[in-house]
Amino acid sequence: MGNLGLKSKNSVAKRFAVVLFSLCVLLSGCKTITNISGDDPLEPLNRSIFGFNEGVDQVILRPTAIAYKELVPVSIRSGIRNVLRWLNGPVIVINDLAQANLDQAKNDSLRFLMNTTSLGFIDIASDFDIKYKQEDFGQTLGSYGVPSGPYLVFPLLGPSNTRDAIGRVVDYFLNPFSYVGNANSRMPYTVSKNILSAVSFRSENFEQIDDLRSSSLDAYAKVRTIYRQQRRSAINNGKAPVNISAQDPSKLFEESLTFSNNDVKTVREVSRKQIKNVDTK
Amino acid sequence: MHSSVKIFVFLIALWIPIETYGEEGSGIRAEQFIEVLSSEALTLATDTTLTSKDRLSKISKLLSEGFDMPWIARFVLGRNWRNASQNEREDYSRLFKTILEHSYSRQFTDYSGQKILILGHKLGRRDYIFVRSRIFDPVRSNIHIDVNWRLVPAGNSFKIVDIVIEGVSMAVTQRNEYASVLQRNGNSIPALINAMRKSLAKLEKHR
Repeated sequence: MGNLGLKSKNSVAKRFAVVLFSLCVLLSGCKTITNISGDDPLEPLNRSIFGFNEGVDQVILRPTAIAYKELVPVSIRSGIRNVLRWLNGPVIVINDLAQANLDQAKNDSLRFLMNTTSLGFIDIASDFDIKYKQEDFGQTLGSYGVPSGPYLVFPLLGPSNTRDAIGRVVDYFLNPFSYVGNANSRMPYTVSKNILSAVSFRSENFEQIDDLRSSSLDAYAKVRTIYRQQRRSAINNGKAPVNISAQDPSKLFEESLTFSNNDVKTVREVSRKQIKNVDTK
Repeated sequence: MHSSVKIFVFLIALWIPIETYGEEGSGIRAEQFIEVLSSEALTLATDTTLTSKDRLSKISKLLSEGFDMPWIARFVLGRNWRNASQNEREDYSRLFKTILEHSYSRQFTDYSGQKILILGHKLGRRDYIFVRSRIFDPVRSNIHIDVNWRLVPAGNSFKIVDIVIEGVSMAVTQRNEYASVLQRNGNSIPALINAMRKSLAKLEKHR
């Protein structure tokens, strides 16, 4: 999604400074509790924002996603998803480089260039086995051991934490697409990109999100732990984790979360051909 | 000559089972276990002749055979297991299993028509065996889901104790969720059991 919280008539740089500053204040204010990153010091506030977001989902997002699924053919929908991913391409490459992951940077640049031929609409790169892999500045910070800080829930934008929120703002300014057009066209661009991302994401994960809601004893706690685990897995890229909090109960199962090729004693490596066979069956 | 060949064959025959039941062998067998179990599950999902009640009873059977339910139920409750009375433990375990059956049965229908590929295994600490797999969606072929299975040996076979989907562990997720319910209710087990009953009623209404 993006930066709905940044909208104002001020200059881009000023907005950036204000948001960054307030996030830094928030982060330093919570410095004493960052070592128990499993904790959620703002839980009461987060829960009410979560409730608000749930309401928005029920009233607006979910019905919109249903209409989107009904009215837009699947090929157009996957095209839209591809364009949204393509628009993130440059940011992904920059973050690969920031994480000194040169192979991935090479792959992601190639991916971006290949898909540029259709302005991102057709995911040609995937046919050449160059798959989409999300990288963002929150992950980059995490890969250098920056703690996640307190868990945060933003109105409309959903789950995050101080580190990832800073990452999100940085990503916005790292993305060359953020500077396309004049100041008047940028805001509608960002807003519509965010809305489209939300609708696309909701429709793609429609049953899973509905299931999550209906099968939860405590949906807030469930989303919080899923967010943390997903982010940690994304930061580790399947390698050994940096910075696991001792209080984190999921460390009990860290072995299964850090499954890397080096650990596998007998990897029956799957050739691309085999995968293709499974695809076409 | 003849008898020495016989002895040789006999020794080989002895050696083979030892080898297959050794460390490496158990990993391979764990891979096969997951392969068989998951294809059974995926067949179950694609079988349109089944009524949802039949599907639920078959999934229930698959879960009790393939999963170490008492282990998972205990892990999810964490240290609160020790504080629970015998009656509470029984109530909780029974509800836990039923809730899991319902949510898996729903998920199986969502995952219909997918293919699974076993990628390998890893032998972990304390007898744990991890099997790595990848699930493909034939409709959206450029998307795959990495699924890792955590197993423990059980007699001649295995039991699943966790499924990790794209880095998200089912057991850890449930443990954290239940811990939150307990924490918000002064660590009262009856309150948790009550919340589970409500959740189950909701699940049953939705089918």
